[in-house]
Amino acid sequence: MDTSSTTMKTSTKNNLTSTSNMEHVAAFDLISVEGYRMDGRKSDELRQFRCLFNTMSDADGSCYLEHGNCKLLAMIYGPYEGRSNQEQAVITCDFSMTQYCVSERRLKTYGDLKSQKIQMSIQRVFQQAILTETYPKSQIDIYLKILQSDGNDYCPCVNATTLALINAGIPLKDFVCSSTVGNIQGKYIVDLNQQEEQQQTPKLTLTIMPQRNEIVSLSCESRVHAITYNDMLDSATNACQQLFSSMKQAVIEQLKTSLNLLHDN
Amino acid sequence: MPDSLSSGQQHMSLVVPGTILTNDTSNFMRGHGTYLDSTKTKLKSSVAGCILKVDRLLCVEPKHMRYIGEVGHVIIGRILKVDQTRWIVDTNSRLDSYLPLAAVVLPGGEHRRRIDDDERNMRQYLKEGDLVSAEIQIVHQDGTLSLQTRNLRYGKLSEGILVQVKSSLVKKTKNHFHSLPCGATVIRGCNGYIWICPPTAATASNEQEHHTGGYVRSIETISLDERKTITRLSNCIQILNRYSIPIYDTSIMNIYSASLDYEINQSIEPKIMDILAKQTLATQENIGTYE
Repeated sequence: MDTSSTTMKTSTKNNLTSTSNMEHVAAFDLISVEGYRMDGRKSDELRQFRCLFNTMSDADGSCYLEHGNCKLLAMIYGPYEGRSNQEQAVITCDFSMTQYCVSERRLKTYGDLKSQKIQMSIQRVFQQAILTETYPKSQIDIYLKILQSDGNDYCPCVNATTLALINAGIPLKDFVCSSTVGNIQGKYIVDLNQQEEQQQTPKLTLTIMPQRNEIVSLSCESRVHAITYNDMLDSATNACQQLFSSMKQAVIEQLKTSLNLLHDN
Repeated sequence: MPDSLSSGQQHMSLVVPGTILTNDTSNFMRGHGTYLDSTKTKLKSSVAGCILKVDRLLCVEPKHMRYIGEVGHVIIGRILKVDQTRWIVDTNSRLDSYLPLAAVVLPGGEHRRRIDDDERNMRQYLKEGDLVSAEIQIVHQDGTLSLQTRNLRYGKLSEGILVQVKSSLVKKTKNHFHSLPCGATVIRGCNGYIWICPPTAATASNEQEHHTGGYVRSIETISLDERKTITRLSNCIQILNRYSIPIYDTSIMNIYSASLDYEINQSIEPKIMDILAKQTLATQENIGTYE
């Protein structure tokens, strides 16, 4: 993995000199002639999804999520009596990374601009998704810890938080699923990994409530054509729906294993 | 994905957040774990769990969540703060609970008048960090609980072990105080706190308690055998919790007698926990009674 990513970087650097065919070469590197991506996925294929529940016995709800090479822990504490006397539950989020989660060791693992941004967005997203009015005067804490990073950290964080909240038995309007989509050489590739994320191509991050067909958050930081944009939105929605079915399956499996234990023998 | 859908249909009672429970909102009532759509035409579930239908009331019961108190439940709590006329107690529920001074038995018997001195001496009776067993007297509108310890069965707990389990696993029965034949007393708090203590502590003479109100911490030495029994019971209850087996006197005794084949420290090794949990389930008569 490491060697391939370094070669990727050098090839794009070399291409910077000849800007005219840069996009073409970069795209050629990312998607093979047969239509496969660097990690062997099809353009509309998600990374491998795996999760474990109740990983932290101390927390009210917890979830370990593996999304391709991205590995993270989500923990929920609460609802407990908060300091504020509000009519709704207060949601706080704490995002941090381990020192070893990226290829180069980092000394500062929390409090930087990126983690603040993720904290804010997670808080806003789940303020909408949790039925906060059922828990007056209470507080719910979300703790997220990235164990291994693979490009976009925001999407796996949203998905892991949803699963951990369900594990904690906190009422949600719906699942919250988040995915990314990029546009490379006319192809829409979903669920970008680190290599794909680093490309200078249009990217879009979408968070939806799949059963309500509602968009919770949407961000696109590059200029794209209106037609391309709609197509990107469509494939991102599809990716989120795919993700939803695997998340739903995981939750039902978890419910069944705990109930089977009771009814077996 | 089709797998999950088909198997999901077999277990129609299992739902996830956002699943539509019914489109017929006029004939069903909204219970716990459900919410009305913004259009008010659909009733949806808000948690993952089993559907519970009582007449017209539709509820969804999640597997685990914070304890929701009901009047009459026996619980175990830890004093967090001493307030003006009440103690603030942690009971593993969503909000802190209260134990008013007027709802406890003070030294000198039930019919003693409460005076200002009592308010000043509150910390002498119960201070921060103390454990109490109590009964829920009132559940307030916002979900806070008012407790009472007017019966001498309840009160301060002195020597023993506290085990924390999932509150949904504590089976609600008539009696939550058990003097087990193995030589220990177990108090199963409905809030998921379980107290294990030597048999003598709970059956202290009532006469003596009348004088002290049960607020004197006993510092007797507990014999090694009793300590071993208590430790083994605590390990056993932790196994029941881990394998989501309902916790009540029979299940505790079943797993206790099964664990006698092993040393106490062995009984929390993953392999042996697995064996013990399976043995307990096999010997359980009424499996699945999961109130």
